[in-house]
Amino acid sequence: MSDIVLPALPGTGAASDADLLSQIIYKPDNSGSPPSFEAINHLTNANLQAGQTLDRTKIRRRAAGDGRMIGQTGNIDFFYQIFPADDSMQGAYTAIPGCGIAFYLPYDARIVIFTYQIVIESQGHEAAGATNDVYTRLYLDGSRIRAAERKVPPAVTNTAPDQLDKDRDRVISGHWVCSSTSLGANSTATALTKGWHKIYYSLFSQAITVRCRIRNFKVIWFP
Amino acid sequence: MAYTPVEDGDSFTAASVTSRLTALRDDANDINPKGIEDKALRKEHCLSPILQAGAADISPGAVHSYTFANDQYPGYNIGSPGWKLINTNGDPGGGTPLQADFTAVDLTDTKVIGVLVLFNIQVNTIVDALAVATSREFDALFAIQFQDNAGTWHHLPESETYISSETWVNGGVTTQARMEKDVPIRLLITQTNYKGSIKSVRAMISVNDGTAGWAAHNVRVQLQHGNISAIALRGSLQ
Repeated sequence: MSDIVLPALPGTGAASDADLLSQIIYKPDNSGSPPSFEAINHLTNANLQAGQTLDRTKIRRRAAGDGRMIGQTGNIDFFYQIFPADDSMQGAYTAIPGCGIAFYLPYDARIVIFTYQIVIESQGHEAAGATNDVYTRLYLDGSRIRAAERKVPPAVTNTAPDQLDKDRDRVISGHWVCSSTSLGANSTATALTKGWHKIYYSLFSQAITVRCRIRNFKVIWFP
Repeated sequence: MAYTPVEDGDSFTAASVTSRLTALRDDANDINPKGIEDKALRKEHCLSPILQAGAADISPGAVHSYTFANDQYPGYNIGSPGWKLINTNGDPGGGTPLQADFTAVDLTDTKVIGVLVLFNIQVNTIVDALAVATSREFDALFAIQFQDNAGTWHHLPESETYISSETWVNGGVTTQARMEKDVPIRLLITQTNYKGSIKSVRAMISVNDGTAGWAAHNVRVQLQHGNISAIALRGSLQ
């Protein structure tokens, strides 16, 4: 909306006009020149004094965006016995504690940004090939996000004696973005509407041990 | 706002009504920020901090490959040739690209902070495609480029990122190891990068071979899953 532009007011001696007076007080209007004080319900920058601006102290906290973060300081070890033999089996992927978040979105967000940092090392042996890889997946509201899938190779690379090669730790600093509007033809992201949502990073492994060090998992949303 | 009430005995004429309404109108059209309480503005009063956004993601079943022969790294801050748009077909091109398009934003506009770019790609392997050479000096390089409103692509040298190949000893024999590495790039494109409007960002790959003394060989980088996002951020309430 912009400046209020009232219609011509009655001059002295003119007959009173109740309709005109009522419309000056309240008349919804979407034009660029609101003809009534109804514009007070949705004042904008156009109503500010010339040359004046508003600073952020006028904005209520979380009005321009909000977010949540979770992290973990300890190591988390996963042993192959807890996984089924085949990653195609139901529940084969286990959520990594501290690397996921449930959050309430207070409105249909224009943009929701997820970022996460996690370090994974596998005690599997390279000679065993892909059977010792660690597979990771990101799930958002139960849906698999394929673009975020990664693999972690075995860290044991010296056959005699077995030796952990620390160069083979893997740091995954991923991201995903959702929007209430289209992000373009090359995006498979879906909109996130007002309400509860859940996103988590998970893994499947047949290696002897997999160690995870979670740095953080963040979600940031904007109206 | 200031309003003068009508007192008993005042004459209530057209002029007095007009005067009062005009004064209210002028006040509403001329608000001083000091008259607005701190934290008075809610989400409904504010424009979205997001001006525009675009994203792209790929997750082909098979890897897509890029070779030193076709995409030789041209050197720092040389945008072309030598860089290839990452896409699901790899070197031949024509597949789904890691290119995020959005409605153009003018980076010189005072309300625009810039365009935040987030990029991730999974590198599966960096090896000699001819299986002749084995080295830790094969490199996969990545960079972000943006397109201006006229359609010209611009290279961002500060986005150039690389990872090198790995080897392991298998029964006394040095062997090229699989990579399985995630490569992230984060940056903010501002008017210091370009003074004008931009409408797309894309993820590029190039291949470097730092080895010497080997017979003819051809370094090949295999990629699989990845995504790129571009978010134009508002920096002003205006």
